[in-house]
Amino acid sequence: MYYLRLVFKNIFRHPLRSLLTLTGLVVAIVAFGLLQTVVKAWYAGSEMSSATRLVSRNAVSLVFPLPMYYRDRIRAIDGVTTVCVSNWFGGQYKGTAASNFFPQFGVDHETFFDLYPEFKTNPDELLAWKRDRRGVMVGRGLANQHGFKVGDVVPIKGTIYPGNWEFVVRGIYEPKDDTIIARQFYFRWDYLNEEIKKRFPRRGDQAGVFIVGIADGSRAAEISARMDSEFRNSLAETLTETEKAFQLGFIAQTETIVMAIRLISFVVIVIIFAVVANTMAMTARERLAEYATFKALGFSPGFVAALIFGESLMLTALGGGLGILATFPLAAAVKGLVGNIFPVFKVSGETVVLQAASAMVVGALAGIVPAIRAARVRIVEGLRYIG
Amino acid sequence: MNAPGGPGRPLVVIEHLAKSYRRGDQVVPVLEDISLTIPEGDFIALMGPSGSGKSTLLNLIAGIDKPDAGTLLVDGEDITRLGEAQLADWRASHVGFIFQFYNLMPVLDAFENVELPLLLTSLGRRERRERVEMALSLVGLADRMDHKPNELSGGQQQRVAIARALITDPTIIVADEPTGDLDRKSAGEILGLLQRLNAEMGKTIVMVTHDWHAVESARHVVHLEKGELVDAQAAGTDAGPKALETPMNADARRLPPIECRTRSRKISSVLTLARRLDQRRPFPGLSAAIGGASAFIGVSKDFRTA
Repeated sequence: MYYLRLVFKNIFRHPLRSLLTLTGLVVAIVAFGLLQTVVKAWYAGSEMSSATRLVSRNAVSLVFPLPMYYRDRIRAIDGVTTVCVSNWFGGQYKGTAASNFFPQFGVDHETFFDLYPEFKTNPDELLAWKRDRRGVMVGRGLANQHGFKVGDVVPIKGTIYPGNWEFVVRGIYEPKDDTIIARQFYFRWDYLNEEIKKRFPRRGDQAGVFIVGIADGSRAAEISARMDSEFRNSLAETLTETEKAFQLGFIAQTETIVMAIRLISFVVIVIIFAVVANTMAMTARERLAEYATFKALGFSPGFVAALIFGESLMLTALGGGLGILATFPLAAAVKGLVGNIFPVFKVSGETVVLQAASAMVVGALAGIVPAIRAARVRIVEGLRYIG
Repeated sequence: MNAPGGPGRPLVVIEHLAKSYRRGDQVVPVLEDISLTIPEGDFIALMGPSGSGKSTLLNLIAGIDKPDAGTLLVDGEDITRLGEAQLADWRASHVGFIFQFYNLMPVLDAFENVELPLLLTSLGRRERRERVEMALSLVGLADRMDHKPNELSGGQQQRVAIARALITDPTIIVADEPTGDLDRKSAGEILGLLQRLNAEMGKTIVMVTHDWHAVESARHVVHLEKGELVDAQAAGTDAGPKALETPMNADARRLPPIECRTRSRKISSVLTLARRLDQRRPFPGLSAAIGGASAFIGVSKDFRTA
């Protein structure tokens, strides 16, 4: 108790220095937490993937479609329970502003929401969507962002499928929890296909990808291989992978950015380590006479080392704690700014543990050398020291 | 050279002590073949020009430095043979330190500073409190317990340091220029206090000083020059410090003995608190308190012998 009181009093001996170091710590821990949260947000799409969903696309590239008739052949493969076509629409809502961007897909209305139980739908709304060819189901996040409500007509300007398109909001689905992204715009693939046939006849009856439900996730590799062999040597060979691998494939394209963010988050910690280490080194140096006095009075070198080490740990624990506390409101504020880019921007438990661990590691490393130096100080030399 | 005969049995016995320091490749001898006996209850002033080795000798006696050769017995124990950890334990229970610049912990108040050495004992919180309050009363700072060092004058800080030196009832008190940083008036007060600790509580004190006024407070003065003892003689008050009219304490209370956590020897110490105040003294209540405490020391010594 006495030891802790002494350590605590020592921390605030130079209020300005302590305040500046603590500010640095808080900023660093917040920055680390936010950057880690950005990385997490980057992977949010893959995190919500299911082990029982496969995605089959054109083996050459995602931009090439697959023939629609593949659906029946895939459905016939052993282990497959559901097949759902999905086409990326890529339209613009209210101009080209990035803030108005949201993902739009044409999907099989009969199977899609059965494949995605993490999206909770109102049965009446779902039925209304299935009955309306121009109907669309929008995620709660998207509905909140743009104020969509059931019955609204949403005009979209097509880019991949040029022209003006209109959809009627028939339902709003809810995410199962806050790790699920609910910012998508799902309309009926058959409506898209009909319109394509009218506007661009040669592009009809084509699927962007097939989302395939399987009964047993452990058979994913086997079924994927079976599916791909089914279409080997055809004009459109398939590449089938788990939904997670499919999502990670997108992230891999931006891996350098993710790497850079990760790197920066750790550089921030290294910088704050240097700051705390400098603070502790100064602290220990100017108190050599005190440590020598402790030793003269009979206190052990271990006690003296523990004073410095404890001070370093307590300082970083304090800064780390404040930083962690500050991360939550700041993350909420950041989400308000970039919510359309990172729909799931949530400080995870893992991030908090990483923040706390970083603070403690910084505290421990920054305190080691000054603690050893103070413990080793010769009493006679220490007593002569004027800090 | 066997220096001053003293009031009691030999407490510190130094024989052929030598110490040198390294400066780069050079070995600089600081003390050469020093032999000295300090009797229990003596008050020695170590004098000499800068670099004469007086502080080094004090450090060796206090067990914060180690000699290159010779023996140094304190209370019958050869401290040159002790390892670092043993020496730390030995210092905790045998030595009270008074430094020129007080060396108080700035973040701790007077009470906590005095309490520090007691943290190495097995005393409980209440017992520590009683002792600290008593020690601060002894030095006339009972009303400044919650003051931080920077809220005290130099003289008051040194008195806190003296209370800290006394708190474990050490075998010997070492003082390195205790008045070196004080004005004349404060220095006089500190010296008067040391004199009383010696005369009335029987404390053995070894003091390094440059100050001739300080020397007059001691019983004996030892001169060092170029690392050698050149002279040892009775100081200004050969018969010891002026006889003090010490009112003995009638309302003395006893505290139980304390035991060092780190060693088995009991630091038997039953300090008594005098309640009568003697306004003629520099510190109101000091004489009475010391009078009571000196009575206790007798008890304490009996306890040790037993």
